[in-house]
Amino acid sequence: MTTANAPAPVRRNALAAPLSRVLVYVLLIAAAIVALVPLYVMIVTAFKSMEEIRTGTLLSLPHAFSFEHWWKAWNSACTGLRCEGLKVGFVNSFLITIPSVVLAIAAGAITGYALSFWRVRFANVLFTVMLIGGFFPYQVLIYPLVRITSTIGIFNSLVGVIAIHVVFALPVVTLLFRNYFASIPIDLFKAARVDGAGYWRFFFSILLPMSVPMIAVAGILQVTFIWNDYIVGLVFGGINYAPMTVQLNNIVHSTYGEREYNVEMAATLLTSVIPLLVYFTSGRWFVRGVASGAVKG
Amino acid sequence: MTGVQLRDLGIRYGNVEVLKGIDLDIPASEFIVLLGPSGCGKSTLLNAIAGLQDVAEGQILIGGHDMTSVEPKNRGIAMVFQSYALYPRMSVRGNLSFGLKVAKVAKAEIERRVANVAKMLQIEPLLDRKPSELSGGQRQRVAIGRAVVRDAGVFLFDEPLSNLDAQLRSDLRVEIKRLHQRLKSTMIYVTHDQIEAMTLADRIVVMKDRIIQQQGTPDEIYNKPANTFVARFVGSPAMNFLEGVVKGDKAIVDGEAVRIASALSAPLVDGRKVIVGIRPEDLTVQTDQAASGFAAEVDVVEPMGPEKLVWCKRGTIGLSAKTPSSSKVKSGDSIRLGLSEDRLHIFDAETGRRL
Repeated sequence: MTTANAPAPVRRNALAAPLSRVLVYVLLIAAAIVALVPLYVMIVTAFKSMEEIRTGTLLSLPHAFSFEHWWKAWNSACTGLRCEGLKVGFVNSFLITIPSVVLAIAAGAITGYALSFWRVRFANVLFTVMLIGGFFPYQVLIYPLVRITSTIGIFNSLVGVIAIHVVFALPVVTLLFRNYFASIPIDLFKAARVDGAGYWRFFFSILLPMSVPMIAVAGILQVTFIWNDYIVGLVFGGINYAPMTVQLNNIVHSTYGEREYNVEMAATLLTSVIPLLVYFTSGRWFVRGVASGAVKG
Repeated sequence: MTGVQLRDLGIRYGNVEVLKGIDLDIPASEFIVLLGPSGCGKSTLLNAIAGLQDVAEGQILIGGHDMTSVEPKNRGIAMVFQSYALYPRMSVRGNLSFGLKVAKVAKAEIERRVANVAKMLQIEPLLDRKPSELSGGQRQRVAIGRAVVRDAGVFLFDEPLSNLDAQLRSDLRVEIKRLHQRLKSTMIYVTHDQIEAMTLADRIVVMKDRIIQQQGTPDEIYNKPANTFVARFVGSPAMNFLEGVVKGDKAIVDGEAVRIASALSAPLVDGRKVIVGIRPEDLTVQTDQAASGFAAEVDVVEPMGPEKLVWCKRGTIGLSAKTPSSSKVKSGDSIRLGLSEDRLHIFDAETGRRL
């Protein structure tokens, strides 16, 4: 309800300090181009024929779009001795990623819950030790882990890869959940105790429904991390459960014959489709989850 | 009906003694208020009664049964928190029925009780909303409803009104009092707000430094404070304190003789140092210079509506007095403050104890 002679609100943003705004945009656009050029080259190259690639016009659009190389990368590119394409690795990556992420989040959330709401003896010591473990570069731990997994008989198996992923994910996921739970007022826990809720009841009925943003954040982090993992899959998966990243490497590093850049580009893009999809569809959740720890509510 | 007894209760955090030797007898249906500044241990005590705080020594009896190490849900208590502590992802109905569902109460019975409580607290239109869609007052009403629905013998309130604005606070205060009259449950109410304590309590327990300073009816606490802390903490503005020395049936205070005999339970020896306390409403502001009393100068006048608060200076001593709003005193006026001798409070200057 504005009166007729009320002054129009001043729109400062539109015209204020135009020069600095232009500069900001120029900078942002430049940064975006730098970041996007490699992606662009990958995409156009994946559609080009080898003849066209040989002409060396790196940035030009393909003359004739061809899906042939994509098909080859997916179905029949040679990954070492087998020539079945990336599809085997794609399935393997799913078999590894989904259980790893689910288990890591479940374990991390429950551990974070125990550490934040229940007065576990030596909770801080346990948590510190866990965090220190998380800071070790895990190349250092590969050999002992190989020995351990082979001793208990899960080396070179799907279970082995998943177990290693869960163990490596635990510190960061626990940290995320512990800090998120620490921001929840303790009164909520007390109210639930008075209402008769025990350990699991509080966790499942009250805490978990409040944790959707944090589950999303942990999920995004872990899906991309585990999907992009190379070394764990390479070492612990053996030949049968090599994830997509390992197969991609085998395609790209094959040394005989002519390098098929178009197939390699297509294979690389195919491998990164899942993380990209995760980011594009859930970036909203990611930002919300990261911010929800800072602002109550 | 359920009474609560605390016997020699002690609570420790690690090696730090938080509460020690607390004895308290709360008869059934009493409304008792634990009053004290923050950090005095009152909330810890309430949490111990609820079973949310481990007890190092002593006993908690609820309804005559030893509940010292019984789970909160089995103590027959209900609790209301300062932060409301509503379950954020549940509707109001879900919040009210959660405890009953956990206790596996039959569905029809849950519905009946929720409907009853919703009606009693006038939250029926809110039943299907989420807590985030409610105002502060509505949230606390729901939190109270969640406690009522448990049908408990003992209600524990942990500063339930502290997060609300002044208007809502007084509204809900009346509502809590009405609730007590209606349910006749035992209510234990923690607050640092002396007005809440005075208005709600059958009995007030004043705490400071982990020790019970005084317990008594609001009338006793206000009119016969056991020490200077209680005297200062209860009443707004705080009681005026003047240092004095006993001489016969008088005390010499800042060069003036004040008769104190009528405020004393037993006569005191000459030369004993005392603190003479007087409440602002027991000081009379007199503009007549010939009147008896303490000469002072008006510093600031605060009109409160029904009365005016007059802040005076006498040398380095500050004094506050209440006067009817019709009074014309203004800053800079020279006045005489008349003392009602039978309204004096005499405390030992060293221990602060009432004499």
